[in-house]
Amino acid sequence: MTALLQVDGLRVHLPVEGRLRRVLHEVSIEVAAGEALGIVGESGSGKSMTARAIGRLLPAGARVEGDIRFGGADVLRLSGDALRRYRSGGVAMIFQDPRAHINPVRTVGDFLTEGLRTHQRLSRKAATRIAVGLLADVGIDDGAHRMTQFPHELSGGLLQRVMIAAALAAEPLMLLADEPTTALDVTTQSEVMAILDRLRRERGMAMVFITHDLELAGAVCDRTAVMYAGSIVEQNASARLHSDPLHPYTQGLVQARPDIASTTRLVAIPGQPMSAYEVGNGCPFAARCRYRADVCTTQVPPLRPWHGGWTRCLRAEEIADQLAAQGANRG
Amino acid sequence: MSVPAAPVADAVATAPVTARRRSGRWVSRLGIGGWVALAVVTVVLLVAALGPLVLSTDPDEVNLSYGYVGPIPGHPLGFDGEGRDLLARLIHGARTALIGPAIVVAVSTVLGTAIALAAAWVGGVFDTVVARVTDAMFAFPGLLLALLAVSLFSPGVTVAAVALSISYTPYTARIVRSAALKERSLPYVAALGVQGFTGGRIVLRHILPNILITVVAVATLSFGYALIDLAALSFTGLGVQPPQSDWGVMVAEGVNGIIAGYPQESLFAGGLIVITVGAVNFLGDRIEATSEVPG
Amino acid sequence: MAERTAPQNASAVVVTTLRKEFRRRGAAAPLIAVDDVSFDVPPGGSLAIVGESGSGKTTIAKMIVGLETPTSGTIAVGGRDRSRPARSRAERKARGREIQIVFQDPYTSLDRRQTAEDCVAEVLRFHFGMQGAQLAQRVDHFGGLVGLDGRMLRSRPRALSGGQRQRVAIARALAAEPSVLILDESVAALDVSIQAQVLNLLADIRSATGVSYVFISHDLAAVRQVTDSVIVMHRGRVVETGPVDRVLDDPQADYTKLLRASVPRPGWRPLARAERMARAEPHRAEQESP
Repeated sequence: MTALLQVDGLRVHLPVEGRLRRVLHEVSIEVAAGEALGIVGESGSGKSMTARAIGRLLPAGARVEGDIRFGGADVLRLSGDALRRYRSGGVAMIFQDPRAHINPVRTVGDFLTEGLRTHQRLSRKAATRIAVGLLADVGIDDGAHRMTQFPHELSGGLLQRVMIAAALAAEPLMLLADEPTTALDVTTQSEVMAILDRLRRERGMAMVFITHDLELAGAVCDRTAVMYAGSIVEQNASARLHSDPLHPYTQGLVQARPDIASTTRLVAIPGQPMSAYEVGNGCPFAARCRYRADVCTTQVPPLRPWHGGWTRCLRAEEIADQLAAQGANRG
Repeated sequence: MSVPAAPVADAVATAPVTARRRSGRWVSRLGIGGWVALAVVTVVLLVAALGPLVLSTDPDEVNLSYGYVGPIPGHPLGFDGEGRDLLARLIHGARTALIGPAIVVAVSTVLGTAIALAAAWVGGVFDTVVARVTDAMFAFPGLLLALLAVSLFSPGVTVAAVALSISYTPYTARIVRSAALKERSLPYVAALGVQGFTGGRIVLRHILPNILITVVAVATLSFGYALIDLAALSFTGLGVQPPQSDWGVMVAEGVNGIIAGYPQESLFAGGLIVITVGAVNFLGDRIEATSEVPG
Repeated sequence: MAERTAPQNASAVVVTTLRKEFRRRGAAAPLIAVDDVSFDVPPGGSLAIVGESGSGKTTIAKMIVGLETPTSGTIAVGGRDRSRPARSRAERKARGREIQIVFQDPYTSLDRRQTAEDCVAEVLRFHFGMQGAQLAQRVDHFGGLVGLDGRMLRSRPRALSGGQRQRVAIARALAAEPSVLILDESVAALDVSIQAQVLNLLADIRSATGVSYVFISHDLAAVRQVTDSVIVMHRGRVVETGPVDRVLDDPQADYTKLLRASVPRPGWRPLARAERMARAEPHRAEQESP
């Protein structure tokens, strides 16, 4: 069965200070219908760029190579009506800052019903009814009242739920969520994620979930890909990333995160996260890797299957024991 | 807090950070247009400063038999209605045309910036009063104030320049205050306050340098406006008095020439005003654009 | 310069019944941002103030450091009262040596025109009148303390990463040799791997210099790394206090339990509404306007 979303060898260059620089390097992922994939990374990892490439939202001047197929259609070559249909009924995006993606001088009701009335030709009454229903789905019970409010009257968490409702209105096949809860309080995040997770499963939608939080991705995604400096360095079932990291960077991320249940000194990865164009030859993580060997700086490791997942580490076999032993088993 | 003898940090912050040459970015951000404008302005300033020293032709030498005569060897632009060499008059006129605006800009920028910084730092009632007063004064056109002053006292550049300085100050103050407020709201200002630094020190050593680009941009814009206002005043006969050469005066005197079929005087003088003001304005705009530095 | 006559065993920070009200335009009742908050940080100790947005934790930090004035209550640092604004230039300067702050945003906490070493040197010159070789040596010392090498010290913020900028901000704060350092969400804006570096750094600095911390954060896990005790705040009030491991391992207050249960960790699932309602504290914040 072919996957719903198939990304093959995606390479993206962006203009940085007048020059084209590589930000994504050979990204390949697959998402089946109804499946959730998490993409985790720090600054420069390319996780957001991947989402934007899929959503056809790359900035002007970007050079894109590779293949993105959604339901068989070539996403990178869509235009006009086909592109519009892709962006409403195919993939719906949810962004980190809801306030940047909603018109502050229109009411929430206008925002929710506009799409319904334009694309689906519904009457104002019918669209309102559906919108209130959607608001109820995301846990906003006084929907009718909320529809008359303006975005600035809603808290961040509420507004993000409105955005989720808007995303669902088009009944998309896949959600593309780019750090949707990063700007929210942790209790609000929990609430919003619970809603998102439930609705996604109920409606059988696929999801690509971008975040910097490995545990959060693990909570709502079946599989998670870890990105570093524009490349995917590991991909595996979410649960196994913690217990059984296949790549030194994943292990580093796991160990760097403070444990709420114990006070042990953190094992920090030296140096800082880089972008694709800032790393040298060979493995993108070599400069910061404690298992670095000579071969790591000369060869670019391919993403290859290993231990039930995928890893971009040349030394995966040799260091398997050390990764397992030190991969923190935090509970 | 005791101070340890040896450094402590183990996780040293290492990074091959790509250092960027500061001047390099500034150069490119100014843009080709910005550099052209800068070149034009520089040329005008040089001509105004050095032209009269280099050129031997007397701009005030009247020779009626040469009235409205076109270009001849030794007089590349020809003559005005009274037989005075046009090129010489334009070059000498540059000085008077530029001195006035320079004074206006100097006074209004210094005064306006001082008021703006004080208001932005002190805040509260003082700031509100300053904001309202500058708004009210801003509504009053500078040229009108200059006309009023000139008619009350005596025609001449000095009176006009003083009047314009007064009326341009609120314009500068408004813009600089806005930039200063924005800068002041940044956390580093609060951090310096917590260090115990005085307001004066923070404003002069930290806020002002960071908004200097804005001040310079406003100054260049003011220069352009002042040039036009003063030229307009001279045109109406209330500024620089003839027979002194001044671009505004020349535009006025050249009107007769236009009627007689010789538009050169007004055209060249007016053209120089337009070019200078345009270049200065554009330069001010580009300078401001260089201040949009990310992060 | 004012004489430091505080008793030697005075607490680093003592706050009693602190209250802050903000008057709101168009509303009769003021907004109570901080209500009846008291805590005590022993010398060399480290206290966390944990809460979400609207909890009042940042307002407390601002009041301790002098950026806001309390409506009522007292604040004492090193035994010296600072509940009211400083009355003179000298007093403001002296207070700068008692307590310093590191803010959250690495991008705007530094003067972008200053190199890191100028930034630190300015503080050293101001508070201690240092010059020349002695000044340079001291700047290097603080650079080393926070893990910045010569090249980074000579760089402007633009050329430094977020983590490096935070190190500069920490160095600037430490240069004044305060007895207390307030860390207002100082690691929240950093990448995970950098956060770990800075958390380790903060722990090291405290053991090396004996400075006391007040660590403001929403991140319960980070708090555990850096602090000994914690107060949990919700809507301006303290809902729980105690040693950090006890509060995190065995929370008593419902809100603390909710907070702890909301932190993603391996094997965690997001809390659905029904579970939340089952707890004594229904999280009604979601249904109200900000």
